[in-house]
Amino acid sequence: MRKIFAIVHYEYKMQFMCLAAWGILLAATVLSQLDNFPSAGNLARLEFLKEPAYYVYRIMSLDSLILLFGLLFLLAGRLPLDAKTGMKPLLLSSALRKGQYVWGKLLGGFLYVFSMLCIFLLLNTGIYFIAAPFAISLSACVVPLVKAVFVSVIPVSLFVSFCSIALPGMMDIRLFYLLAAVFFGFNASYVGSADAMPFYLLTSGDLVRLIWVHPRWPFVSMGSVAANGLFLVGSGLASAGLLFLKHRFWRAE
Amino acid sequence: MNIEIRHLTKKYRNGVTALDDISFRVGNGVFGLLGHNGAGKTTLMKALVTVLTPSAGTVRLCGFDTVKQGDEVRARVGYLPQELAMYPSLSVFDFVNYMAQLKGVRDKRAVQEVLEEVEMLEFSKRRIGQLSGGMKRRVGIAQALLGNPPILVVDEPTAGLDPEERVRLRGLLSRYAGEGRTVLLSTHIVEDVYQLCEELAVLRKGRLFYAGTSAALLEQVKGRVKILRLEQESQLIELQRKAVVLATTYESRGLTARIMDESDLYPQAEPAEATLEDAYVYCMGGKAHA
Repeated sequence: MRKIFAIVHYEYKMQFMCLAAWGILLAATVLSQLDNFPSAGNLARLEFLKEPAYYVYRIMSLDSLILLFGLLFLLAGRLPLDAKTGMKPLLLSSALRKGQYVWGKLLGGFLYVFSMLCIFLLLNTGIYFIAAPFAISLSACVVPLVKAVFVSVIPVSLFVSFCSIALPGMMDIRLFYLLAAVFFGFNASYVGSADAMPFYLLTSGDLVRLIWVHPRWPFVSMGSVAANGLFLVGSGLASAGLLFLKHRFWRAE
Repeated sequence: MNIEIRHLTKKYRNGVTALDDISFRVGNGVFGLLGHNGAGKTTLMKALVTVLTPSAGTVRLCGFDTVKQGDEVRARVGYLPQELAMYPSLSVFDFVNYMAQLKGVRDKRAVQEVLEEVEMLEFSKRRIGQLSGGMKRRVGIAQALLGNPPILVVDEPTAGLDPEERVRLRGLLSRYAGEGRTVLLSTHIVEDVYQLCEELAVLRKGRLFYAGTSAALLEQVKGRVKILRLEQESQLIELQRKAVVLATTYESRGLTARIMDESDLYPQAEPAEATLEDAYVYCMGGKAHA
């Protein structure tokens, strides 16, 4: 376990120091504020912007996609980078097992995406709380944030980190980038409806309806929520599983 | 013997035979592994440190088989790969500490000790991305020294370094080997082997061309190296057909060729003192231009 913790610790540290990721977070925050800042114009345009739960629902389902897309691209290089920098043969020559290496990388990536997404939500909600021209209680902001962390941030972080770290270990990274771009493009262009949403949506699936639901269509399909959650968690775990099954990824043990 | 290689063969899936029936043994001290780029040195080193599995043959380090007793081998070997860029965003201390944790070395004093050994302790807070090539190589050596392994395998550690850094690294390796350990040094720089190694092996296109002492290798060319003065380049072309040209030097009045005159075909040539480089170039059957 010590070796897994060491990899998690240093993976997290290296990624946290990555300036590009902070640039993406800043850009996503600026875009999010242009869209959702509680200004008179936005309040007139968005009927429910006075509700903190709606605000959290909106930035999670729409604006966080930009941040996640950027993080996915940055994380995709983690395994190929070790091969490129000569770290892979060095690690293979140490008493490190495949499981320790892969789990360390995956968990380090998961904690990183989870942290960045939490910072993004906190930062945006903090701006909303301070700038709102109407009275809001702190609990009215905290409750949807906690809900968002449990129902959306955790499964989404797992999906993004596990897929983006594990899949480029098995396929050409350019193909992975292409598939990721198509997936995110579809997610960004998908317009929600009052019906059950497709299970394969990343941040705008039925899981986020557990944060806020439209008062005129107070409809939450628990089957669809479960399918969305299963897809996100299952795809992440399946990607990791495939990497474990690939024998040539590590030395013969 | 600390390293014992018997009939080692490595064939890749694409059909390329990188190593073909290699056998030699290595004792204490610095042992040189010479060969051109692509001769199979890196493949051999990877097989020694358990990164690659041999297609045939066996490799034993400190008596342990690299395939059947990989964990025992890995606990006894320090490795510096040929191109190690490491993690540029980490500090020197963080990187070596990271490697220490992966190798099961828990005492942070051990990290400081190896950094002191390679004279990098004062730069321990500097980011790896900000280091010079020589400093990076020293950090690479530092991580290889963690746990005080009895065998150190270093792949082209002096390539691309300035003379001062090369001398420093050679001193470091020599000092480490002097304490009753084995250093296997792979290089294509003959000068490094000449300065450091009593014994060496020469690889050529995946096959072992020579294994033994530097003195015995030198003996093979002793008295046969000569310097021949030529007036025109056309004479050099003619010469290359009849003798092994070790080196040529272009001068203001013609050129001089350093040749291996095995059958005393050129009595007018001046005898020259044979060097390890002559012996190596002769082994490789090639010529070098200056």
